[in-house]
Amino acid sequence: MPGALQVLRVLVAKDFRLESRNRDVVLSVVLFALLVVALFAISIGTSQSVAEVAGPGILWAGFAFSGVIGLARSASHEQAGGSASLVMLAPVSSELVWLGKTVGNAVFLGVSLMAILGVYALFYDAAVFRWEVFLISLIVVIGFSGIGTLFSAMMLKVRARETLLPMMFLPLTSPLLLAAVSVTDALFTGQGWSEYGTWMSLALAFDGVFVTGSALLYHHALEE
Amino acid sequence: MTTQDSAPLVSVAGVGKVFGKTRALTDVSLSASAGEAVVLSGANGSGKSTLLKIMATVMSPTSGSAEVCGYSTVYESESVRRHVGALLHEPSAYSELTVRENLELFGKLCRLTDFQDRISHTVGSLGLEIHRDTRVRELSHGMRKRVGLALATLHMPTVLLLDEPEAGLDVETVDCVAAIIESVCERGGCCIVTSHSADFARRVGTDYYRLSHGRLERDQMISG
Repeated sequence: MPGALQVLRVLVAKDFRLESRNRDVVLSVVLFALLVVALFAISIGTSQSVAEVAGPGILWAGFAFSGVIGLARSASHEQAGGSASLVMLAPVSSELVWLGKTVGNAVFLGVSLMAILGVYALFYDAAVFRWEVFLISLIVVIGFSGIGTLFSAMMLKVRARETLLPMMFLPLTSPLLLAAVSVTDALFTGQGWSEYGTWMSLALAFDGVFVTGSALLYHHALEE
Repeated sequence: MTTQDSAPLVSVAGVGKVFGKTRALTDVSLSASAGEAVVLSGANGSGKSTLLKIMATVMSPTSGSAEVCGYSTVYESESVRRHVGALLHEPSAYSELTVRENLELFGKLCRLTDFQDRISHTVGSLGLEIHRDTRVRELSHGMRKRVGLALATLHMPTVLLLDEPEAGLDVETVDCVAAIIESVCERGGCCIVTSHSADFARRVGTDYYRLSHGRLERDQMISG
């Protein structure tokens, strides 16, 4: 087990190093999401009523679309020069490779989501920095990263991957996004746990099933 | 299952591979024992690279089975990769990382304790000293191939799989490749090499086969 943790650390460090060279994952996610939030704010206004009706949708739509771009960028690091082979040729289990990539993606998406939440709070004066928002954000980021790591690896050898990835990934993760929108909607309108507890549980159950499935199926995605 | 002295290091039995409607390999059987260097020749698209990828665990066969050092390439791929070094058709290094960073990454993933010494030795023997801290994407095709060779031999594998290792290399590096093949065979390992060059095949090989439309036959032209 200590050996596995050491390998995991090496895999995550590799992703951080690659991101530090390009900065394309965090930059593409943050810039695209900020653009979405800003465009909505300018077009439909930033009043309290708008925030209550459309705010959570704007927030999570911005994150979802920009997240797909980030996942595709992150996976493309593995393709440059056929580099998937280096990790594939090493004596490391595919589950560990998946976990390393998922942790890396989760950090990048988490940092990006925090930036998006900050800008959202600025435009809509919403109380986003509270533990319930962090909890649902964490669940969404884990789900997005885990499933996204599998899907972006599957798309590596597909020519039209930029089109196919959102077409396959977003419908699958829609229960997670629906739960996130419902939880944040309840939180921003001052409702209690009884209103959003079920959605939070649904999001957790979704992660449990699909993230585990992604780990188990990852070796098929790596195979040529 | 572990290796016995008399057992072949590589054993391929009735392997077939189908891509959609294309049959890349048909009932291919091949074995290589300690000290042998098997050379596979054949026209482009005859299935040489596919066969190497199956032995390297990068690809699963559609039918039949392949074992390396007594381990199944499908069910015990992690164990196989401990014993296999592979230079496949595309370079396996991360293009955004330097030569040293790629080798360190692979050494750590292989859990080598003395990887720094091995990197110094490998980099020295392949003439990569001055490119140690150069990013792989900035290297020429020949140099990238040397990096691929360094990665394939860093963990001193028992079985070395080389896909057209001499193609695009200068005379000095081809000598180096031949020396690597010889040293692997001398220390009780074996090599499976694909090549279009009859001269190179005669120089490094002990056994010769030709793949034609996915079928394997003994190469009479080279072996005489």
